[in-house]
Amino acid sequence: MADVVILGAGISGHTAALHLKRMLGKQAGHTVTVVSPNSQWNWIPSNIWVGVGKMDKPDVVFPLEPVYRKKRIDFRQAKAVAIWPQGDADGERGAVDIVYTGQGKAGTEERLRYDYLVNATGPRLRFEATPGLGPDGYSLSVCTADHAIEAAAALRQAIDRMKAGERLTLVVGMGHGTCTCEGAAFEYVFNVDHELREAGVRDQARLIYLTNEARLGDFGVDGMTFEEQGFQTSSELWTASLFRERGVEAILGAHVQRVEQGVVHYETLDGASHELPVDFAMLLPPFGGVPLAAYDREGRDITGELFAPSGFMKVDADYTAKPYDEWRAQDWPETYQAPGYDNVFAVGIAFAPPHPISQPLTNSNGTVIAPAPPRTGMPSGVMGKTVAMTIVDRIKHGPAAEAHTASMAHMGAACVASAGASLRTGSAAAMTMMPVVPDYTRYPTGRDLTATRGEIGLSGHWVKLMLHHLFLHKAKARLGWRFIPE
Amino acid sequence: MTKPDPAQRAASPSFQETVAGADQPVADLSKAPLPTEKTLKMRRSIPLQLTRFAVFNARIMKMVLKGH
Repeated sequence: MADVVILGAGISGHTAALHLKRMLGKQAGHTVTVVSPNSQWNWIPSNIWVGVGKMDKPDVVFPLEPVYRKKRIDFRQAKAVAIWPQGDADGERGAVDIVYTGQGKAGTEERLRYDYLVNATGPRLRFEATPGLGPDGYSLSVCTADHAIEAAAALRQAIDRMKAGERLTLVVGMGHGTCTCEGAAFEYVFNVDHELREAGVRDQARLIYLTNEARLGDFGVDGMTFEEQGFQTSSELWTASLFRERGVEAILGAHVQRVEQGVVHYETLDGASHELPVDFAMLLPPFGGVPLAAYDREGRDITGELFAPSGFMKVDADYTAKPYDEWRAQDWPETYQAPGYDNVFAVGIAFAPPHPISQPLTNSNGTVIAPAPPRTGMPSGVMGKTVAMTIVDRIKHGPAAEAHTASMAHMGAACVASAGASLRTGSAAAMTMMPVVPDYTRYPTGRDLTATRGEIGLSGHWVKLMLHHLFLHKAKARLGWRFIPE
Repeated sequence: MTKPDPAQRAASPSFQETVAGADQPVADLSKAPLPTEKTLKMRRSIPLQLTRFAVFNARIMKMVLKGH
């Protein structure tokens, strides 16, 4: 009999929970418990469409409890606050402290025992890293469905003002020099462009993409090399072409210092500071780890042993500090197992990456401007399933069973950035990369050129729409869900 | 050394220069290639895009089978 506790019900945690329950089958005694402060699951990639008013919140979220009830997965609507990986004074089984946020028990504390723990807590949205950033300040976000609804309302107001003859400046991008998820901001800016064109006010708008990427097309993965018509070209050229075609301006290598009503203050890689007057600002926050304390059996704080200063959990990566030129694909984790604990794992955004993928840069003010590595979507789901397989093997065959592996230096990912939601007039920039973390020992360009591609067209929009429906179907654990790949 | 050959990168144009005299340090994209009218039509062509849809999905499935 084993108890598995999963912290977080995002893409990686939810995927792990469903596969664990499926693979453990009806064997008596094993429990799978998901702890999430949110009562709903959110297909975050489609928040982009909520953010331009093309979808409503119910299109991208659904309640978790009925799904878990159907699959016989225990669900605690609660947030984890501390873990006891060595056990506590009452026993040597690991434990996790949770505080309920719902289910009629808000504020109630509980200590859950586990045999296996999966940390899939996702990101903490660090709006506070930039003064004035975020829905509680002077900018918008599409990180949650509720944020996206606010963004859509603000966009609608801006469009109304432009229809009344005003000329407005709209900025979309990254709210800090260390943000990740540039692809989401890229996608949102082109959806805004599409909406403005559909509303007939594109000429009234100055649309700016403000990013911490030093080059267009970097996407936090150091850009990509594509092979087209027998020549090698770059994601930078490909992206720049789209920006020029759509008339979207780009400010590169930017760190937002603060946001005030109608003004974004930022500095650039040359150290200069700038003020950008804006009428609409959707700026994503940097991510941090969801704060979790860790204690040994005697109650001594061992948080620093389990977690990086960023709050992300250390796993089987090589965290040795070394210069950019010495970074290797092999530094990236394979099993997602916490050092020293063969029953604790961290997946998705919750694991601490060994280093960025793009080269981090520092300007003359000492400000670090470095896109953080993305580890969302496809890779998140794969990690969740991989860890589930490891845990199932260890439950069935003993704790010495070898861990399954899924390094981001071996797995591919697809990034479909919608550039307008319409079945006939929509478009998307669709990219595939293999692997996510470039490996220059295997490929001269870091990635497999036959699998690393970028194309723009209506079909990309169909792919994005198909993924929306497929992944919601899968997350709801409906018929055949297990055959939909991560 | 495991990083890309700088010459490899230099083979592709870069767009890090800013527009001279602009009120903001916006990237100068004036040299970025624009799609031709034919390319734009192809991006909207339903029959062609149906093919691209199939090809893209096949590529994803190949990646899933190879790397997951």
